[in-house]
Amino acid sequence: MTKVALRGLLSRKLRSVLTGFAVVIGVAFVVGTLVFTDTIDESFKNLFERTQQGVDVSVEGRQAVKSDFSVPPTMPSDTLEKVKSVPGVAVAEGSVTSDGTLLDKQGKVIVSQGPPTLIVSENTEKVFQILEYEEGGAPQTADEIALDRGTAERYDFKVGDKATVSGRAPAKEYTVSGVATIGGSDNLGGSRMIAMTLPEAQRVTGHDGFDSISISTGGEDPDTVKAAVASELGRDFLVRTGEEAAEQQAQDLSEALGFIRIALLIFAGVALLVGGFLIFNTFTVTVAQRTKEFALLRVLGASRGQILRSVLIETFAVGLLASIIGVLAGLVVAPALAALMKAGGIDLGTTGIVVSPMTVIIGLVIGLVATMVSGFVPALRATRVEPVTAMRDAVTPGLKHMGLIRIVGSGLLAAGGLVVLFIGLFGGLDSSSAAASLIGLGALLLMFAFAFLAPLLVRPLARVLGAPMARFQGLTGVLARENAIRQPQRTAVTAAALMVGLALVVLVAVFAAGLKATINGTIDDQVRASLVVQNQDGFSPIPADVVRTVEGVDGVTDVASMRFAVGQAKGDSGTTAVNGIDADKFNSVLTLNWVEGNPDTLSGLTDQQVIVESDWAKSHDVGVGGSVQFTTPVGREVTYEVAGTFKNQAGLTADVLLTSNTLEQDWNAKDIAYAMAASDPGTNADTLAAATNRALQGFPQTEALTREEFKDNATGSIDGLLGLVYGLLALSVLVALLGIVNTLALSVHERTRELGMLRAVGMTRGQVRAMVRAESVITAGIGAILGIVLGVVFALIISRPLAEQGFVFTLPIVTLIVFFVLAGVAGVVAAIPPARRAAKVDVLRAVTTE
Amino acid sequence: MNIVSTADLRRTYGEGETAVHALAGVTLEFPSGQFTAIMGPSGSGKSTLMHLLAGLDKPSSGSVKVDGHEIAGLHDTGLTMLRRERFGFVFQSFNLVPVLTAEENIKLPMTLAGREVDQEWFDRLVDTVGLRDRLTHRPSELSGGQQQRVAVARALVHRPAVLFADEPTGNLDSRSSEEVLNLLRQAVDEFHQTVIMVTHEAAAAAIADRIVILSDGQVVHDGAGTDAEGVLDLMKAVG
Ligand SMILES: Nc1ncnc2c1ncn2[C@@H]1O[C@H](COP(=O)(O)OP(=O)(O)OP(=O)(O)O)[C@@H](O)[C@H]1O
Ligand SMILES: [Mg+2]
Repeated sequence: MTKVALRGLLSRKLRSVLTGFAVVIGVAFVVGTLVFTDTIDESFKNLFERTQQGVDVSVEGRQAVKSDFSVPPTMPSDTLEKVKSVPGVAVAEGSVTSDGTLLDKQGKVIVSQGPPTLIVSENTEKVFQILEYEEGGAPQTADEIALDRGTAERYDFKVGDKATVSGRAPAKEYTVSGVATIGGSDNLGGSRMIAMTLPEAQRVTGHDGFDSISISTGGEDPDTVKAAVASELGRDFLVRTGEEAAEQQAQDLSEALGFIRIALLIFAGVALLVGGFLIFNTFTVTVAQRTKEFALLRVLGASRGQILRSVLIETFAVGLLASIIGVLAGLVVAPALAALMKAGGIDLGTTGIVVSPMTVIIGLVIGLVATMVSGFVPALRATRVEPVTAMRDAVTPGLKHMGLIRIVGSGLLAAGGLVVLFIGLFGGLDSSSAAASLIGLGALLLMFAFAFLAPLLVRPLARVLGAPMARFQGLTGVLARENAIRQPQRTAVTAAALMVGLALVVLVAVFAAGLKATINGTIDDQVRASLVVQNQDGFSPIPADVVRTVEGVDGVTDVASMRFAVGQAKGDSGTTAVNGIDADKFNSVLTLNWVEGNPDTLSGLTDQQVIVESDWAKSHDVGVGGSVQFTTPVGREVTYEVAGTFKNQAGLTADVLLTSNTLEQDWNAKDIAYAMAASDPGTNADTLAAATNRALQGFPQTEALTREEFKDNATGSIDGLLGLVYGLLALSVLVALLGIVNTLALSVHERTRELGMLRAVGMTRGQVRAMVRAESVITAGIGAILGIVLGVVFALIISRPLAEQGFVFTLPIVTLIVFFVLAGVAGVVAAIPPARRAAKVDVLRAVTTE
Repeated sequence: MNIVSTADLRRTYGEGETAVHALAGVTLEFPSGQFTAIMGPSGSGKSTLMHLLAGLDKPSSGSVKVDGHEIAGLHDTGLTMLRRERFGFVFQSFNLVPVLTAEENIKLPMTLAGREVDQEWFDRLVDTVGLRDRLTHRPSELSGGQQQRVAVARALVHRPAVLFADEPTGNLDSRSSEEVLNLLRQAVDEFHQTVIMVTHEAAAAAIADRIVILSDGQVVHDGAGTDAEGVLDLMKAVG
């Protein structure tokens, strides 16, 4: 029987290849993702090991509250003396590291969505020097900098060139003293490095002290020295061995970037799911086409078990081969993913490929499981073939008696999906990942409900979609429509595969449109300022001195800044973002949605008071007059009195508002997130923005935006992300298109005689192609309609909880129409190979083939 | 006038030692309005001849002329047009498009060509084949004989120059066969249609005006029609 199975496989090469292809793509995506993220992890680990070279023990300020990408507080200058006094410390040197800004040769700020531009102090102690100068040497004076080779080459800086750098201090022009590599590599994980002398680095970054102190023990046990230093410095300091520090830093970064892995794996999962539909369909058709063969085998004495085994072996063989190819293809996908991320603005600067044995195993297992699960139902169906079928004409079972089962079944699935979805959304689950899993599961069940119901929808949908074709294309259109309806189940599964990918695309599109509308609406409603001053990259902090500069601009009446920090509220396991606002001026730039309180509450806000978001207040069980306790990033325990509550909209502010002063003092927030400026009535916003930008030339990293520009800026970043998501989902859609190709190819094969007969009575090749094409378009159209409806339903449900936070549900009609049309075009493309095959059918075949 | 004619028509399958000469020099003329039955033992080349006459296959050598024009050199589109305009086909089985109704199947050649159906002609055909009450049925709802009658109607709907039939009664019982054969006869007598029919049933051949017998790819008899007994005698004589 095994022989029969494998021979069957070989005799249907094309089909096997097409089926396998879906698995290959899914597995390749999974493996690619794992390889890609492993590579990121590995390259960061190497990186931090290199930066900790020669460091036996390292000292940093302790972060009482850690969050993604947060940095330790700067240590006071006298820390170094204390460290040096500890026995066992042979050499100790303090250094500074901070985000900074580099201008390219044209004077434009180098903006990056990915790795930052870092200002570092060059070490003077030989043991800690990790920079190897290719050209020139280390910066010696306050007017010199050194650059990493990657940056120097990319932006064409040579030794002796001028380069402008700004940080918390205004921009200043330096001379490039040297170009260096770091532990043999061109740059630090894709970031741009500017090395300065320690005092200059301290001045530019505004870091009054050291961000880290490196210790060499001169041979003594690092752990002993570590303990001694720790006891000397006390609990505000984090003392680790160099090894520990490197490991920890790499792990922190890897965790911070963990969302990338999860997101990519979700997309890979979707592609696999779509592939599953394709496998299911192909095997179903194969089994149907082989009904006679199975019946004959049964007549000859094959048992049901033997038939099942034979089909499962075939499935296994396809799955195994495809998984192996998929794993190999994954190695190609990994760099492609890196390139895609880069195109989407996330440059992680990785090189090389890390393939762990686990990745290979996961890839193979996932591919095999997906294939076997999808192929199991068709295999079972094969066992149900009755021996007598061999003597009869095979009749495809009708759907009539299935109607009720399908309606009830999909109703149950949908109900289950909705319940799970709602628990995920409104269940008030503590863990957000559990909630996300439930939402995912619910969505999956809903999709299956739709897919299960789809065969019943094929007929009416094909009627609607086929109507214009029958109208304009005549007979070939009618035939296409009828052919699509002929085996509703087959058409339905094919369309469902497209539905899955498209539903997610639509969900994202609708969500993005809603977000944009929400952001625009919120800015219109709440922002009263004429200008917003922020970092050009849209998220990095800017120097607090900017406020004074903007205040000096003609026409500007009030400038209010917003500081940002992350702390931990008492009793919480997670962190809370807080904003520090210039309370006295804030009313003139922003209107809060007051629940309890009024603008006077804000203008009168004291340093011991706080305004909190109303839902936040509810979940933390406080009200106006009550008090809330936080641990700040620098480890201070602080208590504030709740002065008022407001409703947050579109995340314009954090949920907790303190005074700017409090945030600077208690929370160590030296920089501001952004500043907003109100102007005299009648001032032209564009002119004002231009004037402000001129005034801000000293801080080239900043930009002043009018309200309209601010809106574009905020919504523009959504578009960027949207592009990335579309790119990743395109893969699933591609797999679905393969499904259409596959199904059509199978149908064409089945209808060889019919096609030949049509050709005999005068159908031209062009007409044959048009017929197949129209069937493809109808199938794609059904998938598109199902997908769009499902996607909108998803968006409606999932955005429910956000409605409270002011989420405006908007249907991007034009986008949806574009999707629909694109699906049709995709249908045309998918039809090319099968249509070509159909047109090639020899007329004689119809007459002679039995 | 001859509608179709062949001259030294040859068709060889395979090469060298294993070559099969399905047709080994066939010269025939088919005048308008004649009912020809092509007979011969299995493997004698009947189907091959018909495929070549109808432009479904290409000869190895020799010529096939339709309306006096050589068709060997025609490309796919030319042949398609020829089939569409000049030929009608009735095969042994699988003549109809399963998703179309009987009426749509009958009108198929016209619809494919984008031409108007002559309603009067259509009605006459439908009445002749006696399927008025079955027009809205799909092939799966028709008996084998009914399906073949639909096929005959379809083969005549565009008033072709020649109607080719390859074992049109091969799958039918004797009553249905008779109905179909009578239809073909009617097509010749009433509509002055030219019919070329391949068959190995003496009863079927007996209805023809002319009987051509092939053996090993060559014409061994070409003469006037006769009754079933006569046909059997002929077959015996050449066999
Ligand atoms: N595609 C082919 N390849 C090789 N040989 C072929 C092919 N088609 C037909 N033949 C051979 O050509 C010869 C004539 O075949 P053809 O089908 O014309 O016979 P026929 O008279 O129609 O027979 P039957 O009454 O059985 O239908 C046979 O010997 C057959 O084996
Ligand atoms: Mg034959």
